[in-house]
Amino acid sequence: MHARFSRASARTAISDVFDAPYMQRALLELVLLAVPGGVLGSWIVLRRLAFFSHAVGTATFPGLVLADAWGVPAQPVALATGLGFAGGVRGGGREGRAGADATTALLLVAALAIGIILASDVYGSGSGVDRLLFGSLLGLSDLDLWLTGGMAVLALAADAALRRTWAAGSFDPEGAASLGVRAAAGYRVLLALIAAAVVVALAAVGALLVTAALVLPAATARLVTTRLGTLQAVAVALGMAEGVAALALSRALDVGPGAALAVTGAGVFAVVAVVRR
Amino acid sequence: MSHLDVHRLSGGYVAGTPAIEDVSFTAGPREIVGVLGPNGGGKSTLLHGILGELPVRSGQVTAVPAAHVRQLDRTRLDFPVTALDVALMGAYGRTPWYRRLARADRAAALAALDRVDLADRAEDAFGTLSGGQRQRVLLARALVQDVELLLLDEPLSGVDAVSAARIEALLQELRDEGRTILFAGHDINQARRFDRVLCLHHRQIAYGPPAEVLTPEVLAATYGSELIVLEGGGLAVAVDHHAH
Repeated sequence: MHARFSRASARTAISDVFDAPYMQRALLELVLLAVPGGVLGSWIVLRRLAFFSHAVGTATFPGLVLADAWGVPAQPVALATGLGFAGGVRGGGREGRAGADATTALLLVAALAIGIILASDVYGSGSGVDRLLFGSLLGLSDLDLWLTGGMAVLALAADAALRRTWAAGSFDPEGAASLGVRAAAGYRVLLALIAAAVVVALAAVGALLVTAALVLPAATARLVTTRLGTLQAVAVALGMAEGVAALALSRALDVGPGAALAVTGAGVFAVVAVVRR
Repeated sequence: MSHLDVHRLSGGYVAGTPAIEDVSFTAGPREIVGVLGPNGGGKSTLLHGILGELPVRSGQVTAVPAAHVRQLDRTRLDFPVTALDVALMGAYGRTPWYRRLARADRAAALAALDRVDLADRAEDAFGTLSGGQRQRVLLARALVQDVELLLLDEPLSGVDAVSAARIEALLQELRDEGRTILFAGHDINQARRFDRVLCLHHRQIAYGPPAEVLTPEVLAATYGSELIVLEGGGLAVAVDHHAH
């Protein structure tokens, strides 16, 4: 009797959480975001691009501050800074060299510093900075949802077309060319897609927490799977589940959804890592 | 008709400091060419040069399509692929992006794994195989590429005796089927069994049948201080294992 009562009230509580229209939009956003997050995230993890992805997110921050201050749409500006950053990392240190990580770190710190100076001293962006850095699910526009849906389709299409190129290039980066695989071009496309996915994720999770959506589900799935297809499917499903849980957590504790998603994702990763040891 | 014609090939990775200079030789069907030389002597660079992958190069290379088996320690062990997946990568180059892999390619990959005695390990994760087994899988991948020229970079280093014997026997079979094989390595005694030997120490020291090429003078010029004279007059090479 008691058990049935608590199940029923739990169900009510969960449906209450998603009663408000803005919460439904938020839910849709996170579920859609889980698709590029899991599909591209798997390649991010396999190609060891987690740090790069985090850095691209941070690199968009000064662009976001400018767009906010000038009242122009954030996405094109963020995409420009993100792609510029990706090009800078590729130009500054070739993949596989020890220098690449250092270049990424250097550019990351520079981007964050420039963003903060712009926000605090030049434009006085004030409380808006929080939203740019950590995301918000309150202000999601139709455009945000459409962009995320479009990114989900784009990620699936690119994965279908390029998965052999990416697999051969990730397994054996230098040897792929002699297989007749255009690995270098495929790698550039992957970096550009990651930059685009980062930009799409910004609205919900913010510049500093994009890895919560793009890396954590795939990194967790990597612990429990041994095949590429399974890895991607588990990562997408896990990303959706973590999104739902994070929204509930965000509502219950009144914390930002980006932070809730990061904590949920990191918590699940930690639990799985400990259990799998 | 030759499968490989290298004419005055020079080149390297940095302009101004060529890793190989003035290499010229021709290799035809049914030939295993041993490429001997010290570490850093340009063996891997030569293979990259033949593939057209050197950033800096001069001279001419005329070659039929080639498969490259690189040193074993360059592949990733943590990547989620099976032995069959890796063998199938040999078919990627001829499969357009919008097509699925052909049934025939899958059959070819299974046949190639069978040829390296790993048919029963086809579904095993690549990273769980031994070094010698991984090398055989990479050879199977080269077989699936179905080319007439194989470039093998130290294919027996880090390989157990069983795998080494299987690989050597397979290379003889492939040679007898009409292929050309370049075998970069260190083992002078093994090179005596090849059809031709190229001695390389930045420059080409000698090229020809092993009986003519493998003289103490040529080997001394090739290996310098790495060459050891054994009791009884035999020669051996002291190999410092390198990581580059």
